[in-house]
Amino acid sequence: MLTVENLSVRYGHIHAVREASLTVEPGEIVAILGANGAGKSSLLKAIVGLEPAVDGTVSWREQRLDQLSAHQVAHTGVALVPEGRQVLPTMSVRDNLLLGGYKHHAGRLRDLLGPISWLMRDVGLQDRLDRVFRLFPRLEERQGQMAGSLSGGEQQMLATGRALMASPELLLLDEPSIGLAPNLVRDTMQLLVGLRQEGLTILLVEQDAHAALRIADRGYVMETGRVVADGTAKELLASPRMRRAYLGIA
Amino acid sequence: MPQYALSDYIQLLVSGVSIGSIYVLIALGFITIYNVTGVINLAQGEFVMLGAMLAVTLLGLGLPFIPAALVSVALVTCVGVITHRLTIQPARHAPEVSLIMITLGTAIAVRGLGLLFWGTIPYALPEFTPGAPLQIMGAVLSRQRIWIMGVALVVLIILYLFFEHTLLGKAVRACSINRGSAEVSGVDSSAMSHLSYGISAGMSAVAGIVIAPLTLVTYDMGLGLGLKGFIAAIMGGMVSAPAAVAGGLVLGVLESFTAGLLTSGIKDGVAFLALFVVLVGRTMNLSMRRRRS
Ligand SMILES: Nc1ncnc2c1ncn2[C@@H]1O[C@H](COP(=O)(O)OP(=O)(O)OP(=O)(O)O)[C@@H](O)[C@H]1O
Ligand SMILES: [Mg+2]
Repeated sequence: MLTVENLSVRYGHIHAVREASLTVEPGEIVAILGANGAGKSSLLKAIVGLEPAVDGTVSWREQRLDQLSAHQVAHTGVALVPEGRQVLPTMSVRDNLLLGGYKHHAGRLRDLLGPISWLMRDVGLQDRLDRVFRLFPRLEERQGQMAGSLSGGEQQMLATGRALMASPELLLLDEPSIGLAPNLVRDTMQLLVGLRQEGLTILLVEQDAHAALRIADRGYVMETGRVVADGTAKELLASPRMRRAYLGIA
Repeated sequence: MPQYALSDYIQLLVSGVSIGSIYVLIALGFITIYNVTGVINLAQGEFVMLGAMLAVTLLGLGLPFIPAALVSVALVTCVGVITHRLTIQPARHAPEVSLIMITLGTAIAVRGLGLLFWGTIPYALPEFTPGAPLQIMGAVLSRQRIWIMGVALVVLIILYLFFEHTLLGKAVRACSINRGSAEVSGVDSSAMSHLSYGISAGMSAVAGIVIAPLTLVTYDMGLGLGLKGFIAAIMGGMVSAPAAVAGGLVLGVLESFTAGLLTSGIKDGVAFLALFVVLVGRTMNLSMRRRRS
């Protein structure tokens, strides 16, 4: 279980997240909704250790994450699909995926310093790659291509595939559907449902509240850094206040 | 107007390429650190000096040449890592200018310590394989120059294999492209910064050891060599390794031809002239692009 308690994030005098609390139970899909600048991305960054929390705690399976740096968090089974994809544009699709699974090799000198061609024979690595290619056949076709030359949608697939290469148990996604055509948004949401069936726990930040709440069990609504509402997906969808103010659906 | 034979040109070219290889090694040190940590390390030349000095000292202690050279490179690699740990890492959130000032301070401190330990007298390192110069197409080449080019080539190949064909090398590159996303995948980016400092210090030590038999070793030899390496790195745009290789070789050859065909007095001026031309070219290129867009 992921537990965030009274988490605060600041950038200088900007108070991006104010005493936010939330929980995600194993096997749940939880959505975080809110307008631009509400602090959703800052919250995710603080959970994975990319931004320091000035206050509050984050724990994941009896482990405190808030004292760890980002690469240590990766080793606890948490992966992030960051806002804006953040793929490595001047490296190949395959290299992006390999690096996504870096944590499996981090302590092994042979893996780190041996030729990549040896590493590719690693059975675990092959399994992880196969799984990602099964989810995103497009990535297999484009393996050798520079990530920067992929289309926006393909880069999103790569960003998700890279996070999956870490074989995470908790997957955080920051607006994975932004800029995608409606059918791709549906595909993305279907993909998350499939991943949950495989046992992943998912925390999803989305602008497209409607799409997110259709697959989520529960949701939280953020406004200027605070969590101002929470409930089951049904409750949030039904609440007239939510519908008007935050979800952008009349 | 004196007459030059083809062999004279070949001779100048090869001397230029061999001294240029030294600049290449130092320039690659600059860009390795710059790409991964964003720091322009003005202490790069001091690593060159330390490499040569430690080799001289270890030889003096009775070590055979090869172990002395290897131990020296290993020690300087550690010095690089420690330098990063003690001077850069604690200040990594400081503005770029502050970081440059820190590296300048480190350079002055290391040079000062060098003066304290080794004094102002120049030391000599023997040629790797002493012997009569080789004759190639009429040009006369000292054996050490062949060693310089050979060693530089080997270092380049190792560097290429590391960065292109190992996971660790790719992880270092990932940090230079996008630190945050590398960290999220489990790459310890501060370890990669340490590594980049180590690699680049070690490379500079190699440069110091291979050039020492041609130039003598002094506590302040890092100043000039570091500056030339820096200029080569800038000529190559500060980020691209192949461009830095080209920059270093062009600079070496330009110097060699100026010294050989005109006068050796203005040899050092050539480097600054090249720097000037590159910087002006850059600026014009930039402003032209800005006007177009
Ligand atoms: N690196 C930063 N430096 C300074 N301020 C920042 C930084 N990142 C975010 N902020 C500010 O913090 C606040 C929250 O930003 P955040 O990116 O977390 O919002 P968000 O909910 O993800 O918005 P969006 O939906 O547009 O992605 C905003 O006011 C933003 O301007
Ligand atoms: Mg955001």
